[in-house]
Amino acid sequence: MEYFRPIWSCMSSLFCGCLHCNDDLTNQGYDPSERTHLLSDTVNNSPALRRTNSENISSDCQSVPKKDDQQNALCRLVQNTAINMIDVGAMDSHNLEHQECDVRIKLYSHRLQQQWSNIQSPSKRVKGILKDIPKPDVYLTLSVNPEDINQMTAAIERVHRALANIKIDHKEAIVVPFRIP
Amino acid sequence: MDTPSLVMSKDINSYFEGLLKKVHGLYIIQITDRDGAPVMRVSQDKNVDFTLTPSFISTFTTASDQAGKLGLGRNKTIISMYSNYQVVQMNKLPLILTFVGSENCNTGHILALEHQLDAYLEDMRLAVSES
Amino acid sequence: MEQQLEKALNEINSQPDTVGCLITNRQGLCLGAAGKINPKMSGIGMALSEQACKLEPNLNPPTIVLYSGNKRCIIQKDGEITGVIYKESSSN
Repeated sequence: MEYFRPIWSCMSSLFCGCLHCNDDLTNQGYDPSERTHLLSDTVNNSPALRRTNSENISSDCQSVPKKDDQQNALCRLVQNTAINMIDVGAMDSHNLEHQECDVRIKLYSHRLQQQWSNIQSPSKRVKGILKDIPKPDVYLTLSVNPEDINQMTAAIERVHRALANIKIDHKEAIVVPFRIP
Repeated sequence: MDTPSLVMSKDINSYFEGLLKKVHGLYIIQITDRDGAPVMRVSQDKNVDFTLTPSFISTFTTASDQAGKLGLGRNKTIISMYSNYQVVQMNKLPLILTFVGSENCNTGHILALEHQLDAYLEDMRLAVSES
Repeated sequence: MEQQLEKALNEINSQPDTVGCLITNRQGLCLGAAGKINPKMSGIGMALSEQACKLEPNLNPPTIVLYSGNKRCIIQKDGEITGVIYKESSSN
């Protein structure tokens, strides 16, 4: 059993890795979304501005594909790099204007009100204990198996001992320098 | 913050208020858009000294966006532990869910709410993404 | 680091009728799981045991057994941890 575990973990990590790859690939799509932002935005940190900027540029890209495919490819490259770069500068989040916040709250509540006015209130549900059990009498006669209790008590004790033995195996450096070329 | 009162369906509202009662130590559930404009909010009567400003939420949105680039897949949840409170935030764009609870609140229970909530979020998701 | 815990869980899981088990901490976060059990239910298992403790706050935490069909779920809180075991019996 012990021999199988490394193989299994290797397999599962490979499998997961593939899943992540797929995930990343789909995320790396060129479609400009609300997450899209560009390198050139270092001056304007406001996400709202960033969004409009990226929309402008991406629409530029789309408008001239026939003229220059190379330019288009380059544009995509820059954009994908920008999307995938961890941009700590973007952490300086903007503050939503109080006024705009109020406007949005009103808008959302208005829309929800509209949506909810169309919905009929759901039919009354059956009330009562054990209502969702076909044959409640079967369960009512059951008694707790003392074996279960014993098993649980032993298990808890076993786990307590195992938890007490948890310690960190120091194998690698805790601080790892980023490999920036 | 002085916000206009939110009008919401009785059913949905009582569902979320029920959640507050079910999870011991959970004080606030707030559903906002990605910039922190509230769509819905339920809170315990208890005086909770924790204000969820829009900037708190939008900071989570950016942090979640950036954390998604670490090569581990999309970021779904961030749990922040403070000395008196814990904040669990879920990225369900276009919605952001924020749960505020006491520091010893059942975090696992809050996380387990995620898939139960989905059906109730549909209308709100529509309301936010219509723009 | 956690090999001992994994070993313990696997041992528990290999007992008769047992199909899955997990251990959660005080926060309802799963410390480890083995067998056919969703680690996401750790929070709910912990919440159930906490609720049951309120019945008799002065006594030790009770053992909870939930029955459904030929399956049963045993929950027990003890100090900082809560254990959940799923069992399935061929005959009811």
